[in-house]
Amino acid sequence: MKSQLLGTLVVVAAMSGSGLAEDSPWLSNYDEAKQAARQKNLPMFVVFR
Amino acid sequence: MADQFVLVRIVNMRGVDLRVFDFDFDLTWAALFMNADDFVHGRYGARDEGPAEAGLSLSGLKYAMQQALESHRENPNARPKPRLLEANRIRVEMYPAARRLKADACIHCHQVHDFQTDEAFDGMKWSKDMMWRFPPAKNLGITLDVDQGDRVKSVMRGGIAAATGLTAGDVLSALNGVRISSQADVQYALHQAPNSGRIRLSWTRNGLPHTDQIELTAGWRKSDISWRASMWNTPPAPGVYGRNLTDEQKEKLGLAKNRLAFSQGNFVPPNTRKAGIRGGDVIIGVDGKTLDLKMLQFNAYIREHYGVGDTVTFDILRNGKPIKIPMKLPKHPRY
Repeated sequence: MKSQLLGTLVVVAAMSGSGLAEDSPWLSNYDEAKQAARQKNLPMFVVFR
Repeated sequence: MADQFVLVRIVNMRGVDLRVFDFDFDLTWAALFMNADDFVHGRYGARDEGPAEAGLSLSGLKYAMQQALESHRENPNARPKPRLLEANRIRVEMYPAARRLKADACIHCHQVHDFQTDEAFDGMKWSKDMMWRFPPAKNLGITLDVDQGDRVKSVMRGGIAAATGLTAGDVLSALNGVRISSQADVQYALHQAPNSGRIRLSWTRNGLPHTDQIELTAGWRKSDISWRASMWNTPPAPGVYGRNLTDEQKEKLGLAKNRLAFSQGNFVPPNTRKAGIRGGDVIIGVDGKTLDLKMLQFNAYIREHYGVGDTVTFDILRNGKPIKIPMKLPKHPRY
């Protein structure tokens, strides 16, 4: 279960850093993310790794 | 549940506002749940000297996310506390040690702690208490449920939190002014706590709220830092490292299985080489002490018990023969 969690996180992170990132929902610019959060009235999930 | 968040991934600390992003930079994975005004609803990601994943679970992450959504619904326009905006360093590249890097060099999370240590040491503000970053919940004498990070799993008899009457099954709501939904929140709250003094703990039991003060006494922060990448840049740095000997290798050398014994790596840092230590030397103790430690723990031990400029004598086996090598401990193995 725990390995599955880290595995999932690693895959997500790898996708957002590769050529597959075009359709990735992950943003890398915090200011853009803040703007999107304000417009959508959503919280942000900010991951550091 | 991810579609209820704006997802952000940050891999380079360069340009990151440290007044906003204040977390345990030694973690290999950390998440913060925030609003557009930089307010942190909650955190996720914690570890200690045990296996790196022991403090993580999908259920625990989902629970922390649900709690963050609830916090956001309750107070979507929450603002960070003013004190967070008063920090000296705004961005990591402002630290003197960071300015020595190439302008485009990627700065990793754990380097933030390195830069903070360097600045404190060079500014004569370093104290051993600064080693104990983000103390774990067990320092209060409690363990928390991995799948629900605010739920108390056990309370150690005689531990700091035991005096409050806290018991297994209680759900923490706030600690030292920080809303709690995960182990990461607890560690963040404890990181801000004083070296001695009182902090407030709130919890619920069967839905009923309780609050009490916790008394922190000198030394409460101390924890095992051997897993931390930043440990290596914590002074003093003896420059000794390498593989722990196996039980069989120890037996051949006539050493007890639990005794410290590691083989110095082939690259020997300049100060360590100058003292006379060579690659392949087996380090089995210091100052005549027989220690029940692994190599990483030994490095943490040296940093806890000695200071820069102290002279220690390493107990070493070279080709099976015991020798003693004194060494004046430097701030860094290179200088």
